[in-house]
Amino acid sequence: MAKSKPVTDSPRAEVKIVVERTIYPLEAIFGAAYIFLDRCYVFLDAPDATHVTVQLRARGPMSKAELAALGGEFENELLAQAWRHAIVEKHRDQLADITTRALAGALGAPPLPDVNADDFDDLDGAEAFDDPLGIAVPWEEKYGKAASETAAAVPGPSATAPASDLTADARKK
Amino acid sequence: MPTLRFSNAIYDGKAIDAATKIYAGHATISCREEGEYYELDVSAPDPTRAQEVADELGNYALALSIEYKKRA
Repeated sequence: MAKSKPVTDSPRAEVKIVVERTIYPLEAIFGAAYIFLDRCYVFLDAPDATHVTVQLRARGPMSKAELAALGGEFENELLAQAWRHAIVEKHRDQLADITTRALAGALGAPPLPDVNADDFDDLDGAEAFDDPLGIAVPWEEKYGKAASETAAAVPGPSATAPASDLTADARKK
Repeated sequence: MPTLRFSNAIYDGKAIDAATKIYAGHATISCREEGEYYELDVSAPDPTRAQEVADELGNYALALSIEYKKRA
């Protein structure tokens, strides 16, 4: 439980809040205090092992209503921080697991093993280039000669009779 | 002369040292340990200025203490 009490008789406007640590862990109190550092002066004290007092002091003039609102906002933030802390504690293992998977995925697939020159030492020259099916023979060596002979045997357009000779034969008929 | 009392259950000693060094140029600051508290006396020719420095020093020490505890 958190009890806030605006103090207006002080020369500087401030509000004091007593927080029970059994309900609000110290991490939640720190989280809420950190958020309010830019809005007011925050002072924490631990009068005993189970309580923490939070003193919020205005940076400038502030009415009693504004002080009460400031204290209320701090208590709301305190509750939000405590709930957030509880969620993080409850799902700590899952969060660590997800983070680990994300980091592992960002590294990419494992690389292929490097190939060294030493890996080919056991292949001597004869065995390395034994090619019974002739796969390593260049196309020109394997088919080049036969292809040139075929091209010479088949008559091309230049071997046919000219069109003028054909018309002359037709006139004779 | 404002006096700040920081509980060692809340505030980190290193954070208070760091904050004291930061604000040493703006006021005269003396620090001592009293049981479970660090006590700081902040003095300046202008009392308003001394109070302002003390308030800012308190905020800075709290912020550093929270950050140190987060890292630990």
